Amino acid sequence: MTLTAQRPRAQQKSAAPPPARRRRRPSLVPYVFVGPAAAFFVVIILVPLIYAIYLSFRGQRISGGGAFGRKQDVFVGFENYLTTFTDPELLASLGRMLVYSVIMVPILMGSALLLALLLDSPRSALKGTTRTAIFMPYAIPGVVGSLMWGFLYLPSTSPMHWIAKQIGVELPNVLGQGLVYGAMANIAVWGGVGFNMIIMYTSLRSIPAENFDAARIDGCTELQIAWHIKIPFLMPALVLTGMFSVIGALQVYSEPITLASMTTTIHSTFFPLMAIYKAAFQNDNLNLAAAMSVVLALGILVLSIIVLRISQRKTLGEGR
Amino acid sequence: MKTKKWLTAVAGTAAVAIALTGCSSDDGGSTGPADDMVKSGEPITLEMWAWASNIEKRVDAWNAANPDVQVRLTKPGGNEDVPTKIITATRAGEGPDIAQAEYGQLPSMVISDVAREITDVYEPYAEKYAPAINDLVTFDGAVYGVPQDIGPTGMMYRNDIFDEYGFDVPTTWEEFAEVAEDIREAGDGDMYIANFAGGDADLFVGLTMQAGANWWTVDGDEWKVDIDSQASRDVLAFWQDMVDRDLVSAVPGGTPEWNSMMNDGKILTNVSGVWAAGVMASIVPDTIGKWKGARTPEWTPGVQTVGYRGGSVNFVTTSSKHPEEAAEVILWLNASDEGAEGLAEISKFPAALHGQDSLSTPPALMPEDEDYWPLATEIAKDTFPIQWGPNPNVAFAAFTDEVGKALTNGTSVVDALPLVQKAVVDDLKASGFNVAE
Amino acid sequence: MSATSTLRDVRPDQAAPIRGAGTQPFLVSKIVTTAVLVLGALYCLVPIAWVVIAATKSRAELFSTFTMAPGTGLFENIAELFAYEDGGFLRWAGNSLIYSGVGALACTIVSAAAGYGLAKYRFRGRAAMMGVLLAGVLVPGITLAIPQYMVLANLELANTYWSVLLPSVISPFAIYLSFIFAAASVPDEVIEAGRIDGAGEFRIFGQIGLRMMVPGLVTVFLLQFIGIWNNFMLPFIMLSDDRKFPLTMGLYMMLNRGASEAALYTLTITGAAISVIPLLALVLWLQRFWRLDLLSGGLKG
Repeated sequence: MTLTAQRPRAQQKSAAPPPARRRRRPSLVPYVFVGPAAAFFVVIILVPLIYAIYLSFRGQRISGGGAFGRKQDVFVGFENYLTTFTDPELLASLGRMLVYSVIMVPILMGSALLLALLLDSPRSALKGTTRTAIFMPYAIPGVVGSLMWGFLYLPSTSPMHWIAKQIGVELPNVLGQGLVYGAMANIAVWGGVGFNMIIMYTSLRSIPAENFDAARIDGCTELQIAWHIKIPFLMPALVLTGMFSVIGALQVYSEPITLASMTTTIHSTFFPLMAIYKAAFQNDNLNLAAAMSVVLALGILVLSIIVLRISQRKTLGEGR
Repeated sequence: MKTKKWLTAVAGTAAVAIALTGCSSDDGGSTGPADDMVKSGEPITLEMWAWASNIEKRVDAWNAANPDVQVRLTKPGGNEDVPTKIITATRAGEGPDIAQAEYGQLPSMVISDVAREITDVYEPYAEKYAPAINDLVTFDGAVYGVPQDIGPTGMMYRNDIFDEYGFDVPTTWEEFAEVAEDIREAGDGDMYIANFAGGDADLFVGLTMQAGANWWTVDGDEWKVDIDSQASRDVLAFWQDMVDRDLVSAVPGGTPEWNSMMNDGKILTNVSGVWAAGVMASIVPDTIGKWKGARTPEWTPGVQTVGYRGGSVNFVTTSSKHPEEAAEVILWLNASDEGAEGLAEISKFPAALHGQDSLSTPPALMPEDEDYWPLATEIAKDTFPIQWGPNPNVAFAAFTDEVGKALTNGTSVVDALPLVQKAVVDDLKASGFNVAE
Repeated sequence: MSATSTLRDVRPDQAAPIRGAGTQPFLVSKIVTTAVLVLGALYCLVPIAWVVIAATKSRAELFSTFTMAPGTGLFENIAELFAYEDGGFLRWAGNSLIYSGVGALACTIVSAAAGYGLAKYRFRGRAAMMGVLLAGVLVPGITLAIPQYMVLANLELANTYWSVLLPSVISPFAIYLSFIFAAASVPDEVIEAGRIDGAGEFRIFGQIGLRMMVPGLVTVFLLQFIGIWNNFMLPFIMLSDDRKFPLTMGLYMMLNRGASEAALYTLTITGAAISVIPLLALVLWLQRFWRLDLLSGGLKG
């Protein structure tokens, strides 16, 4: 993992000698530290995950006579996976998810970065207030946030539409086709920009001031400092927040599900996770939901590995 | 001293945790062996999951009169995912003894082996209900639930606005379209006779039945799905025409948009189950006293038979450790005369005939309309028998999705029908049912 | 503590007197940067303002008056909210406090230990553990929800406070953050010095390591508190007794009361407005612990 803090490599090499010098058997101490987390992980995440994978190879089939038989739990092999890969609706939802991610992630990361840099700039005022205000949406649950924005989007309750009507302008339906992606991305950006901004900002604050003094004495503008010093320094934080933003975008759920009840544009399987939810919670088909989730998770995993490899290569390639 | 603080925090956490264990010790079923149909001698507590409004009043009444069989009510919310919650919990052995389900949800309870058969104990109460109602809870000749309330469809209309502009109250759907035109031209031109929403799938099962449709039929153990029938197409074509001519609004129901329009008097009628009058008062408080009830417009002039919308049953779960007592509770609550009267008191439209007769106070939405409940009772006497298939939830979801897509894309909602048909048939086949082609 | 000597929040920014070639007039750029920040803040606050205003509207006013105009029903709404379901709202709020407070505290402790162990020790299985942790983030919570319920049901813990608390303790993201904070804030020299002095590993962790990680752990606590407070899926699947519901479930129940019941928009909005207050208060209060040298730790010039 390359997500360690920004410690100059020279310093790391000269760190204290490893415990092995004390000539013990391999110490049990680290295992005690990570033990509780590992135990919880196994019970809460690993075991259910294995169970879910097991379920993905099974299905509920009707047996018994009469018009209303009874569901039995049987082994079905790869049938659920076959359904997943051949369902045109699911493939369409994957496409929509990608469109949404391409819109949402750059805006989220870009805004967070811009705001973090502005907060860090010596030129701006009102930093404390604005920083707190921007972080506040993070404290709002996703469903409540979507409800709020829903009221602000719907023509009959939206102040924007009201103002537009007064001046005689017809605003487009933000929840209509096409624009609905922006509408959802807006909610996600609104909720997430503060969180990402804080992480980047605290990372920026740890840059030693000496780096800048030299640059400023040499006559660099703030913009040049931002571009050549701050942003490269931020790479690990950017990668971390970037990855989690992408994962969040690929698992988009609470925004569409709340808006779905307000507009006909979003149907019940608009995004993959909605389809999974529907299968698990509304159609009592946990087996199919499990198969779809495994496929989705593997896809995200592959994507994450690719992103990490690229960013690693880039970081190393800059020959720092 | 940070270590001390830290240790105190840990100790505190542990203490809280131990205290909480005490809070949670007495839920879930008892761990004794299942006493199948044998009465136990000591006081027992039954778990009941229901979301019908004010049902706690009836449960309290039972508890007061039956100290040895106490019912503990929990309200798990009422969205479409609650049936799955009931099924999951019952499979894990953590389910309730008694649960509520809508008529369209009962089939999945049966095929998931969650609803328990109660044919024998139900037998003496069958006469309390109209035969069509008994059919709603009977599957393969066995009874699985006790009907609580029913929703034969009726129409509420804004009496005050109809009077003001002199609109006729339509008695057939043809008249409905004509009055719709009048309404569009009246006033500021921003009123609609009704709203058309894809989320009203369960309503459309009943409306298409007026035209002769029958979405599910069964012959022996073979299912026939006929959603994409001429009758259904005709009904949907009627509504598509209304949408095309801007005679009805097309916003999703229950949304802030819809609420706003209803409150402002922009939507003048509402066709739904007759129970709607009881519920709407809290949604459109500004309009209380301005509505009146009427029959659903007829599809074939002279044929007053209507379908249903909504309504619930109570059933005993297969994981219940005290099934006989649980059955007793739900039979009292819903089928007995005392229970039916109690349901009427909490503004339900009882499925039991005695309950319907005992409805005296007009619903909250139209306190002046003394005729409302008598009319509803009359309507209830002439309803289509509905055969619910094993997967109404799939049909409703597909209907909502496809109609929604059609409205969004500007295509005809009639085209939604073959897609809904396909979804339902595919789902039945995938589950292993026999489906006729 | 020598960790913070060269940080820029300790020294005043010295940009003002230095002018380089091509810099804009100072005042204009100050206005521009501040304006952008203020715009961002307004954008974030407008919907929250809406919720507060909407909470003041009575049921009749909610859909009939202009969205941003305050209404007259605030006290009625609050009274009705607290009376709903026999004081359910307060009970749910209490439950949320328990789940979030205890859960976040336990999570912080577990994550701190794990992060410290991963950052400060080399042991077999370390890389695997970190990889597996990351993989744990990839699986959607929805998928795991029902299997988790099954596992806990087998342990006879379903529908108890434990069923929400236990899963709240494990958070791969919290462990990662702790790992970063441990690596950054606790210098190896300090640990080694402790060892030379003869202290045991756990004592070093408790008395030295944890203390240096505190600002970072405050962040972990805060994020996990908010996460648990706002979590819906977990309590939804685990709990069926509405007396144990947290606020998110209570609000959900008010909005989704079944096909034949009206959504209680007014109550939900009022409830949402009130439920946000503790979170905002917590953020504001914890901000001062949020020293800005979170990731610097032992950096020296």
